[in-house]
Parts: sequence; structure tokens; C-alpha cells
Amino acid sequence: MINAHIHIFNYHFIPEDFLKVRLDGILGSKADFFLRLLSSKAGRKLLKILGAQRLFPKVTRYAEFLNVGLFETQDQLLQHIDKSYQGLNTSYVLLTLNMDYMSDQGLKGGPKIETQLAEIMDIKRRLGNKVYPFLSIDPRHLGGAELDAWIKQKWATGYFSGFKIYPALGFYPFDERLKPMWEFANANKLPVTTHCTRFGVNYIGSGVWNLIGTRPLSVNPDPVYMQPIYERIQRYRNYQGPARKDIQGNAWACNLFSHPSNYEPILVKYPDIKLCLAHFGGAEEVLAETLFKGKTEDEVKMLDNGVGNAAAYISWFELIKIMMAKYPNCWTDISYTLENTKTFPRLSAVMKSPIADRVLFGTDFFMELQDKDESTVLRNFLNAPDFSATEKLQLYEVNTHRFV
Amino acid sequence: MSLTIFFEVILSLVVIYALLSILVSLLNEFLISITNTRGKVLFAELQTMLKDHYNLDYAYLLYSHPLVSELPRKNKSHHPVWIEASTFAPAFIQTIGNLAVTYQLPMATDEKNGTAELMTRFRLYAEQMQGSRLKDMLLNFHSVANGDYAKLEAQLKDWFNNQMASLTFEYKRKQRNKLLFFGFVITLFLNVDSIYLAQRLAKDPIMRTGVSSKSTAVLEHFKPMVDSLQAQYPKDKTIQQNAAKFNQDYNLIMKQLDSANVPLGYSKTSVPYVWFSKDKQKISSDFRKELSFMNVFLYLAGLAISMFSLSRGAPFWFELLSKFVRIKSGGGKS
Repeated sequence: MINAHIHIFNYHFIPEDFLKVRLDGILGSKADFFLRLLSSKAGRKLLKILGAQRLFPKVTRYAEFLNVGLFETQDQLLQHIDKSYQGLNTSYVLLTLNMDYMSDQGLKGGPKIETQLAEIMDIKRRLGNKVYPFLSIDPRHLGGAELDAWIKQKWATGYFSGFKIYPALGFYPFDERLKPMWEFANANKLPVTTHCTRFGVNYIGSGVWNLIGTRPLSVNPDPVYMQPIYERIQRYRNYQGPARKDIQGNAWACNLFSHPSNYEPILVKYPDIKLCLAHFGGAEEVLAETLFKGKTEDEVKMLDNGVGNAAAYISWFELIKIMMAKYPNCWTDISYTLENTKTFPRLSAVMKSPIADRVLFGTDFFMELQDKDESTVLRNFLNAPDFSATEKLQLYEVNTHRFV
Repeated sequence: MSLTIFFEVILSLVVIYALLSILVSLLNEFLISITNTRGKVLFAELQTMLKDHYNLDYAYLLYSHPLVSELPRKNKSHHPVWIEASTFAPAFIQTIGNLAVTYQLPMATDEKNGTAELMTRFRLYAEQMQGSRLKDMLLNFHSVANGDYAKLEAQLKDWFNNQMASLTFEYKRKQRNKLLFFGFVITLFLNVDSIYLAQRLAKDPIMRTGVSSKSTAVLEHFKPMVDSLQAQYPKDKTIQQNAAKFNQDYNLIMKQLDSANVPLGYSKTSVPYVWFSKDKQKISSDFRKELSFMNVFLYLAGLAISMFSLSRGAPFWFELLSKFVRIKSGGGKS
């Protein structure tokens, strides 16, 4: 079995202001203390005593998520997830993540990505095919010839199996500076996994609109694919809703970076890559009929990049399916959609369609701990009557092996 | 007041402060054990010591080394509270040496001869680092060791010990505010008015003798606890178990003070309640029972003195107590 989507980076690689921004500055400088207290054994026991598990299940799950994220080494996170897979002989795709540029203060303590990679490379050296590390790329770290040299240097070690990008951290996947990565991946028929859901972490700095730009340069400037993207950007720039001003607005604005259509110019230009639009758009998009339920007109506009037409909305789940049918180099995974069992019938339908051979099993450890623990997600999937035994095998064995 | 009475009052106050400051120190230790302050301060110090903007975070990588990551700690998200120099040096040399293998540096691994010797790998990695002060230091250490592993290890141990000496000073400085806070908590919780205590001790020979006569017993009984404050809340115990231990220590200390009739805590006859009592006249004591500016000022001043005194921590007061006991017993050296 291969789990094609897990993260084992710990708090050490997250910018210092990340948690504070997430808590909207409520806890200020004491955020670290309270988060540690909340995630400690005593904190979790206290929540249990207070009945929080029943009253505030989200809080207790978040405490568990923090507890794992605060593990001291990446190795410990890997050991933690592996406990849930005992007897299943599982390998993991380790998606590294460069978060040095996701905030204004990201580089305060110096760049952290090289340390993260050094530890991952050591894990790979020791564990061999138990893990398949993917190299995280961010065009603000390196671009052009420097990125080219860096990728080749890292690849020469033989420790990496693919690339990972996370556009919501503040860049477009078609960014011209990423050209060396796409060309290298295409020439070597390598997999690239990208975050493709509206939710998760995003750029938290103050300059999001500078990063968004108006007509960003693309690795494939063909107007057939770029014009709709430019129009979407302009539409959202013109939108003057309340979300424009606060930090929370960043989360909505960063959808411009993550949008599935941003990958069309890449899929056309680099036919030999294996591009995985991870999460299948996210559970919320799989169950899109609930997406606009109870939302105000402004919220609909924020969600839909300024369009605001719920009736004409095509979910990211549907978009990805259309793109997979159109481009044979387009893949997806079902990580962080499996955590919601209501998605199973729809995912099962996909497994009976012609694109079934490019859907991967993954869980998005340890992010999914915010909703469910790894063992529950795995057990729910393995016991789900929605998927046949062959479909399950295809998801976690056949497709994943072809991918990595 | 005769000199003997004055000495006994001071000695009694030292005994009271010594006992109460144990509570302050224990509370501080309890908080440190929950928040893993020592582990965090140690990690931060190592990050400063091994700081290298141009290369990697070697403190983080050092903590991933099994010699350090397997050190006992409360849980996986807590740093170890202390690392011995004899652990630091080999773990650091191996961390640097292993990076040469991880990065597959030429000559670090050889298909024919396998992995190169550790000293060679240490040098190979240091040589390929981008220019930095740490790189210079590592190459200098290696050069001085001249191929002798023991010499390299000895240099790293000295470096580590020197850094940790300054860390201890800095750590104690940072603890002052916390001790002040807990001094404040204990003072308010037990209503410790130093001026009132001194006045009562001066006027009440039974109480004075009762407290001062305990000095030797207090020193002998509690000194071992004060000497091992750090070990009072073991890392392998849960917070509940440690809280129970604190409660046990608290009761033991309060028993000592109660048996000597030390006026602590709140009652209808004590300041500040007595100021608002309707039956003021029935209370036999004439001690500051009227609400006046001077009495309020003296009460607040008494609390402030207690707070600052207790915030000195138990080791300070026990050191002072042992000096007093030596004087009392004729000045002999213990």
C-alpha cells in the first residue's frame, strides 16, 4: 500500500507568526503558551473533564492536531502515522513544504526549507522505499537558472521522487520562474503534486494583491489558456467586497492561485508530467450543493472569485473531472476528502469512470487530524461498501505505484 | 528591645520566609515542568550557539539525532530539559558527519570502502558549507584536533560548557519575574504581612520561641528538598501526580507554621477583615483593628516586603537560615 499524500513537517518549519495570525491576534504573544497547553496531555484531559469532546468536538480534534504538529522531529511524525498502518506494509509519499515565504516574517529565523529537506533526505537514506519524498518548490525561494541548478543538485542524491507545490502560499503554478521545475519533471516523466482545494493554509502576509498582480507571466503564454485566467483575476480585483481588507480575505484571494484552471496551460505544454491536483477540489467541492447554503451574496462572491452566481457555479470537483477526461497527464488524490464519508458515493462513481486509473489514495496526514484521526479515516475507507475491493486496490496500490 | 529578642525576631522571620519561599519555588518548578521552560531555553541557547543563516539549523538537526531525541522527556513535543556535554559533543560530531553522507559528498561514501571515517566526514561536510562563522569554527576545531577524535570531542565539550555557563546566568535572570509573581500569589493567598509578623514576634515571646526553636529542624528537614528543587516534579509523572505531591508538600509546610501559631491566612480578627467587622470592640487584640490611612499603608507595605522577600526563592533563604543556625549554635562551621 502507498499513501500518496502525507506531511511530516513540524512546527519548526512554520513561520513564527503563523499561529498568531490564525488566531487573529486574540492571544498575542501568549498564543504559543496556550496552544502548547491546549495540545498537552493535561490540556486534552482538561477538555475531556469539561466535556469539550461532546460540546466542542472541533476544539479537541484541533488539540490533537496541534499535539502531533508540535512533535520535535519529522521522524517522530512518521512513526506516529505508521502506527495506524500496522500490518499493511505501507509506504508514504512525503510532501515537503516550503513555508518560508508564506508570511511577511517567514524568513525571520533564516530559511528553514534546507533543514527540513536535510532531515527528510536522512530519513530516506535510512528507510529506502518506505518513503518517497517530494521536493517542495516555491518560485520566491529560487527561480530560473538558480532553481534549475538546485533541482539538479537535489536530484543527483537520488532521494527525491517528485515535486510538491502549494500555490495558495502566494504564487501561480504557471509562474514563469517555475519553468525549470516543469521542464525537468516533463523530461524525466516525474510526478508533481499540488494543493488544489479552497481550504488549508494560505499566504498570510500583507502583500497578497502584489503577488496576485494583473497579468502574471506564464510558462505557457498561449492566450487560449491564459485569457480566462486573466479575466478571473481582473474580476476579483474589481470586486470590492468586505473580504478585500482583512487578513481573512487572504484565504479567499489565494483561491486565485489554487484554481484548477490555472493548470491547463501546464498540462498542455508538458504532456509527460504526472500532475496530481490533490484533494479532488476538497470535500466541500465534492458536495458542492451545500457550498452556498446559507451564504450571503458577498460570501458567494468571495467564494466564486467575484462571480457570485451560485446557480451557474461549476465545482472544483467537476472541473478536475473534466480536466482529467481531457488531459491524460492530469491526476488527482482523495486525501482530505476521505475524512468526510458523505463523499464516498461520489468518489465511488469516479472509480467506475474512465478516469479511475488516475485517482490516488492519500490521507493528508497530519492536516486531517483537525477532523478525524488517521486510523478512523483509514478504517472508514477500508471498510466502506461504496468501493469494491478492486477499486480500493486500484486506489492504494495500482495507481499509486504508477504515480511514484 | 534587647539584642537577643531582636536576633530571635529576625531568625523567626527567616524561618517563616524559608518555609513559605519553598512554596514559591515549588510553584515555579511546577510551572516550569508544565511549560518545559528549561527545555525551551536550552534549545533556544543551542540555536544561538549553532546559528548559521547561510547553511542549516544545526540545533534542530542535533535534536533529531538519536543521542538527543531519545533523552527522557515528558512527551514528544517537549525538548529534553538538559543535555550533558558528554552527549552534546558526540551527537554534534555525528550530526555533521552524517550530513556528508546524506548529501553524498565525494569521498564521504565510496562503493569500494563504504562510509568514510567520522573525522573525515566531519571535515568534508564543514569544508563544503557556505562561508560562515560556524564553518570557520568547525574547521578550526578539526584542524586543532589534528585527526584525534578525543581532542575534537574535548573542544566541543569546552565550547558547550562555556555557553551553558552563560545560559544558567540568563535563565536565573528570567526566572526572577516568575518568582516575583509567585511571591505575590503566596503573599496574598496566605495574607503574609511582614510588618505585622515582626510586631507580633517582638511582642509574643511564646510565638517567637516557638518559631525560632524550629530553625534547626526546618533546616535539616527541608534543605534536601530545596537542594533538589528541579527534581521535585519528575518528568515521568503526570501533572495530577505532581499536583498531589505539591499539595502534600504544602500541608507539611503549613503544619510547621501552624504548630508555632504563626498568624497567616484570613480570619474575622485579622487585617483586613477586622477593619470592616461590626464586633470590633469584642476583639481582644488592639492590633491595627481600626481602618486608618496609616494601618492600610502598613498593611500594604507588609505585603510588599513579603512579596519581595519570598521572591528570592528557597535556596536564598535556606542559605541565610543555615548561617543564622551556625551563629545560634556558637559560630561553628557546619
